[in-house]
Amino acid sequence: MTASLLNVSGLVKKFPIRAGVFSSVVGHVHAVNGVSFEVAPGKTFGLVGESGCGKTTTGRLVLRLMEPTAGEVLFNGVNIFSLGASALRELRKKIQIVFQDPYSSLNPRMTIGAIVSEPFHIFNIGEKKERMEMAAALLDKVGMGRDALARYPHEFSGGQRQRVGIARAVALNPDLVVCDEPVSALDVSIQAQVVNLMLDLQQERNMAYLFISHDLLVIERVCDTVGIMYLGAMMEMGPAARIYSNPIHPYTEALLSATPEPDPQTKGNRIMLKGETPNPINLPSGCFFHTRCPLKKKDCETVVPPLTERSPGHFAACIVR
Amino acid sequence: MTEKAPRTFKRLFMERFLNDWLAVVGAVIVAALFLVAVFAPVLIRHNPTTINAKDILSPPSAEYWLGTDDLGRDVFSRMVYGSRISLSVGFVAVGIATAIGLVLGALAGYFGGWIDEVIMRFVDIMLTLPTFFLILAVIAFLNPNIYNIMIVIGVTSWMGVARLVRAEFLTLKERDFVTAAKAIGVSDMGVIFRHILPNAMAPVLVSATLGVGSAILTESSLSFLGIGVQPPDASWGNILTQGKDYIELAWWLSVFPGLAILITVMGYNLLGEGLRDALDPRLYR
Repeated sequence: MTASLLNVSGLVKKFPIRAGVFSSVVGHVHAVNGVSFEVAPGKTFGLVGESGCGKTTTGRLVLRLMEPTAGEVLFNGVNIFSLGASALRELRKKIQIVFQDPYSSLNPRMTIGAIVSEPFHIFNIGEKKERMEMAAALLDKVGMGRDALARYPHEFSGGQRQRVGIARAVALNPDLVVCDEPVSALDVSIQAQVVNLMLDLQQERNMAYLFISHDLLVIERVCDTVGIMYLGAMMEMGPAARIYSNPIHPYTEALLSATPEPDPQTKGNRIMLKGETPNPINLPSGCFFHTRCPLKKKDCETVVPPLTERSPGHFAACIVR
Repeated sequence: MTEKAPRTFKRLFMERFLNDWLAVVGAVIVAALFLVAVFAPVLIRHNPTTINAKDILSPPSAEYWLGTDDLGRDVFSRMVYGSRISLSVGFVAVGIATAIGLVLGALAGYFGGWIDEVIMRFVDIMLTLPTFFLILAVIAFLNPNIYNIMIVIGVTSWMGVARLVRAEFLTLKERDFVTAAKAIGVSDMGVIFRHILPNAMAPVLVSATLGVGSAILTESSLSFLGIGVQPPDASWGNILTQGKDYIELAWWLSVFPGLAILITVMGYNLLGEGLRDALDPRLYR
């Protein structure tokens, strides 16, 4: 494996739950429970999982938009949580984010020009005129005209807004872009266009993506490596092709079997999971998945399965398989 | 999407504002008051403080448009000069209140935690004090002049703005565009003032406009009670005070200043509501 750009190890994030007169901590929401993975330069790592499995929290931690409970995130070998204010500012150029909801991710009071040129403004790049030129060039890159500069976000559709969001994210030529469900709020026809745009930009600028999604088809299209998360823990991780053709973990298997099949003739072998995702406030003992696992054995309730390498680069956390 | 002329925010705002006739009425009232206050010396035919012993309590006529008071002074002239008092008190007091409320509310809402706790408990304490009596008590110690009244009204009426701004910040700071701003390295102050505050201004503007109306009412009340603007200077409140003694003899002494206060406060309220609707970009779908 090539030297990694991003190296996440043992990342833990707990949110305290406060209640009562004195706001005492009565429990924790265990959002991320010891996640480790690597992202290689110019490659795409996909984080997959159900709603509430800690994908988004992981993304925010990688950007240091919040502080972790434990663990570290190495970016080019430097732990981002040890950076001081000025070093963190420099880091902001290198790691950027694209959001899920294009309606909430653009400031409704700012013109598209002001939004896209703001990164230049923050880092004092160019004069006001030049900044607008650079913003126009970026908009052109993402397939929008320069007449958008003076207009406001509410004048554009979801897909167009998402393009603006992407333009802002790539403005400073970042090495890594955290894509937090960038297409799941869009129409399917628009999704493909935006995904293709992101792939083109990646090739051109040699950026790495941390691609967060619950959509396995999109993940398959864009990712080199995939990590499957469940209740804040990594269940399985490996090259996308291998995960899709040869899943090891029963949860991965169930997820893949739930993917809609475009061909109505194919009879899928849908694995129906019973029950609900357990509450992240009171995590299950042993393997987090044992409460719903079709292959559950007695040991699963007590033994925490380690993430072990099954074939080169392909890891799974299961004691049954 | 069809091609259309580039629509600037200003143009959209004007379009929307001018389509709302109540807002236009409010704006016209407020503008008219401004003109009256600015051109006061040109508009009057009698000096507002000149006493005419032979024209005491004369009813409205061609000579005295709104009649005269118990000292024979022209009510119209006095009211024209009173509008200066009302407007300046309204604006300065609300300016002070809004500035304090904006800053404290923004800090409380954005940073949360103990900062929020301290500021909001202070707001609670201020709210437990009956504002009007607090003003009465403070004015009793200070000179009852116009500047002290402005300041005292201002520093006792910012709590509503603070709460409003805090509430706006609490929802706005969770929005993705705020996260995006942080992710590109915008400083806390930049996020507060450039990204969040402009989005929180619409309700503040409405509350400020309504606040002007209520500050004018407070000033009138203080003057009515005799601890506001001191005679012989005129204010709508102290004209009313004189009027109450002669209400059976000279209705014009009470009715006209009362109407002036009513119309002014209503004008600000209409203007405030109109601004709120016209400023909200979410309505431009």
